[in-house]
Amino acid sequence: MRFKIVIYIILGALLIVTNGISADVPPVESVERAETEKDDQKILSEDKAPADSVTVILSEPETSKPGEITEEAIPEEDKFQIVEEAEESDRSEPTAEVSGVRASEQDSEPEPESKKSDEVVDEAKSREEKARTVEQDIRPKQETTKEPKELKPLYVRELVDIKAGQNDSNPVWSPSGKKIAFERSIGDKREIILSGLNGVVFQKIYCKLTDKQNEEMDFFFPGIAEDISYNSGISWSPTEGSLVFMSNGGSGNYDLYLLPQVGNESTIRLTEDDEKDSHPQWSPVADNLIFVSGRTGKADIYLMKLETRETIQITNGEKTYLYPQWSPDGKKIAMIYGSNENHDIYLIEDITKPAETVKALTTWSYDDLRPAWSPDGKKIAFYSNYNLEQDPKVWALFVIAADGSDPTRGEELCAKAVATNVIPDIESGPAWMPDSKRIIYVKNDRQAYNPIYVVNVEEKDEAILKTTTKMNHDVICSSDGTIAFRAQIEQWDHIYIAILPN
Amino acid sequence: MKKAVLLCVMVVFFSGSLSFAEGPLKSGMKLYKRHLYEDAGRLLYSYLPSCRSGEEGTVYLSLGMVYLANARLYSTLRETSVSVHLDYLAKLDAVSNGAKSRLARLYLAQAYLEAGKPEKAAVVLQKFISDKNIKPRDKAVGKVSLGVAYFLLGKSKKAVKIWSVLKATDPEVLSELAVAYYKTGLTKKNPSVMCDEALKIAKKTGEPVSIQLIKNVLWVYASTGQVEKGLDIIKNVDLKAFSHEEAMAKNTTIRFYNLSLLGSLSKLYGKAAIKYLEKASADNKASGPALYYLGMANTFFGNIDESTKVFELFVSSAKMPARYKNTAKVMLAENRYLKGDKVQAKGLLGDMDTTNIYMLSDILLTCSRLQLECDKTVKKALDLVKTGEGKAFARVNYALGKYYLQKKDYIKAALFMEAGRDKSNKNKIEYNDPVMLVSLARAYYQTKKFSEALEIYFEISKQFPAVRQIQIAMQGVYSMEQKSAGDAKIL
Repeated sequence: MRFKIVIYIILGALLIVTNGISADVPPVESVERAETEKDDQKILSEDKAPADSVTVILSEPETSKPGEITEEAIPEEDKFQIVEEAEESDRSEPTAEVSGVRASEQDSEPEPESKKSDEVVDEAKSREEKARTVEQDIRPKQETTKEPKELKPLYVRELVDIKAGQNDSNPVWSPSGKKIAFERSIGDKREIILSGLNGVVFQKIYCKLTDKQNEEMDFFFPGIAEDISYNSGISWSPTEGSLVFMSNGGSGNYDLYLLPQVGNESTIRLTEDDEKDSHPQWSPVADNLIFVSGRTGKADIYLMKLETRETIQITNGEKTYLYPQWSPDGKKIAMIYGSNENHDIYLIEDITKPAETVKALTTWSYDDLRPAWSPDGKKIAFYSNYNLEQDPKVWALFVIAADGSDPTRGEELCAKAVATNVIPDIESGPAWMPDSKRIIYVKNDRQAYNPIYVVNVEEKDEAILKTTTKMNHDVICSSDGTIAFRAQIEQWDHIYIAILPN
Repeated sequence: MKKAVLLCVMVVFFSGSLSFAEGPLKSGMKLYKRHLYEDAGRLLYSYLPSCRSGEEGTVYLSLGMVYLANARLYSTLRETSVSVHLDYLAKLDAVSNGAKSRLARLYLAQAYLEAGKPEKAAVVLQKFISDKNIKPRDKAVGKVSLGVAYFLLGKSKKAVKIWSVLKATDPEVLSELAVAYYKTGLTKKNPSVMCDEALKIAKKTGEPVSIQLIKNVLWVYASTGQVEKGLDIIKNVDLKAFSHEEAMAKNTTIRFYNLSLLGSLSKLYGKAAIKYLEKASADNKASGPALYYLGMANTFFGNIDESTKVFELFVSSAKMPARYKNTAKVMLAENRYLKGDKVQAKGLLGDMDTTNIYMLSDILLTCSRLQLECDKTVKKALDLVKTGEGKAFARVNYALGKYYLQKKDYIKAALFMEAGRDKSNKNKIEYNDPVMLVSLARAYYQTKKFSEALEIYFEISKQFPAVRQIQIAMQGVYSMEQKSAGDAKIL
């Protein structure tokens, strides 16, 4: 046993040094922001082609190779020690190379590529002016700079075997927390992987047009049929026997697809509109979907009854509605509304009367993104780029009452910030713990390789979760409190699992 | 025994039915995918009159795509041919001993005309037609060319005067005049009828129609929209035929090839592409892809307004693939630039998503065509190509190669196009875009890597025999510079 531990210590230390040297860190927060902006634009312009039939590739289970030492094979007490030892190594090795890499990462602090620098300056100026006039009375309290507490997870391990050449992202827990789906990018294509908590992959979903259609498409648009099947945006059914996702079917535009029976290869195409359909969310209490579609020329939220496929448009604004989220009781919907410059959090209080019950939960000049309901349905967390420096690239985590009783702007809303300088995980949103009191998020701290934090939303106490992983992202929490997230090994992203103490 | 016979019968039956089931349309497009455009065009064109009901739109689309690819290739070949011929013929003309060619001047002048240098052409042609040993027909052809040079120099009256005294009873001279009349806007002379007449006279002789005549009638038929007439003619023409043979001292001969043949073929195929793509765009099944290729064909011919209209339709069509829509968006920006809206166009190009590897290559190719300085885009592409390989990266390498070719940095151009070439089948057109290969051969030629360039042309000539003229001219330069033909393969 001691021998094994020594091997793990050495491997852990090597891993840390290797990561430190080679981490070619992408500008995460700006990418996310750019992605959000692009989403608004693309939702109306992405293209699609008919995909009458799709194939799902059922995979051989991905299991550990014979003879390999797996994390499961190690007793819990040894795992703790590995984490601790690795932390020791991390702290004790501020090598010159590592420092150099960090410095260069800072040097390459990103600008959104879609905007020219003068445009960004103009935008920042106009935002500043706007903020001065509209939010003149806002003077938030000075942030305290005390060191966060440290929290050691019971264990941290990779979900599936780590392989170079592929990037895993956007994990989504099944409602029970026993299964997990995530997206895997290999080159231009993106497939959906379904796995158990033990890391055994039991299904891969890769929608493609039929061979005949592929062949014809490839004749007229060479290179299209073979390389761009893109599958993402997973949402499990409450029984977790089915799921819905977005796919381009190997070509053309994006539609919604249903996997009626997990483990079975056939899928059903749910939408066939010329414009993009995306962000499907399965109701937690019924077989209804909400999703975003650009079918009217701008993004709006639609409700689909799966049994009849009856589809109803439930929003109709001048600007775009995005990222709809069901409340845990399946009666309300939180979403964002706005344009590239300013999104606000909106609520539909009664899904049976959407037009009459829609209201804004935030109305200020800052960009508010990705609402997430607390499991008890009483609060909504979201990201906002409100900050003292008026820097639109700096994000904070906010929590407000889900019934709309909190102020929608001004100092009172500023006070609802529970964490600052966070990385907005646009696809997954802030990750609530099952107790509805804590949120897991990623701190924008490049010196510390974007660590994972836990914040208590009432006391606003923060603790850093010592996972030893780097460039963390896409944090989600299951109904039993297991955390899944993406982290980087060399340049490749992998899904990790962690459990908090207590 | 009976079982064996039955098995043989079944094998023959099923293998036959399989190839029948594939059909000419599919076979044609498979040839297209392998860049065998001449074979594909012949197959699809012959299939067109008998294609199944409801299939016409797809056949038109396929034909349009094939012809567009062919037009682009011949256009690139023409550019190379002009460049190599100017070198070759100038060297021939500079020979001062007894081996001096008389006809070299005629071809050199025509090369100057093709290169847009009418002044130099006029000087050489004046010398040519003053040579008393020149045959009357060649002298007449020289006079027609001299008229064109005068016209391009703004001396239209002088041009008309030269042409008016020519007795155009010879079919080659008649067709040469027809082209001259069309180019200078003298369409009242009815160049198309003149070409019909020239062909009629030539056929009466019972001898094969000369390539000199062919290249003229193809040009006029293409220009007047009679593409089928042109396509029917080239069915039975030997495109690698020379147009003149001159006996020299020491039992040697020089063969001359008319480089405007490549321009005529490019024009004919381009016009045919537009015609068939327009038909395809009216067909429900084929309209989407047809719009994309029609936009490309119109840009190729400089029909910018029409191209813009068609690309805008394509971009607004929801079911078309994003990658091709992106290319169309880049082309729309290019069209804006060509229409004079340069600042706006540059802004559009600058705002495009260069993280998209295909879009990055498209922007770079546009920079090359418009001869723009695109330092940021080039830097991105340079960074990117270091990180991987594969089809998408091959395209970026090709775009970088084209960019440096246009900048006349031939070493870098060759370097990147070599990187974008299929490693296992480096000169095979089935595995590489022939336009890329021709561009690479050009870079090789400019850096005096004659053998490498000729190796490429050897492969290309198997499908496109008209490149013989480039092979011969390049071989000529090679032998005159190196004093030896080396081991380069031509035939």
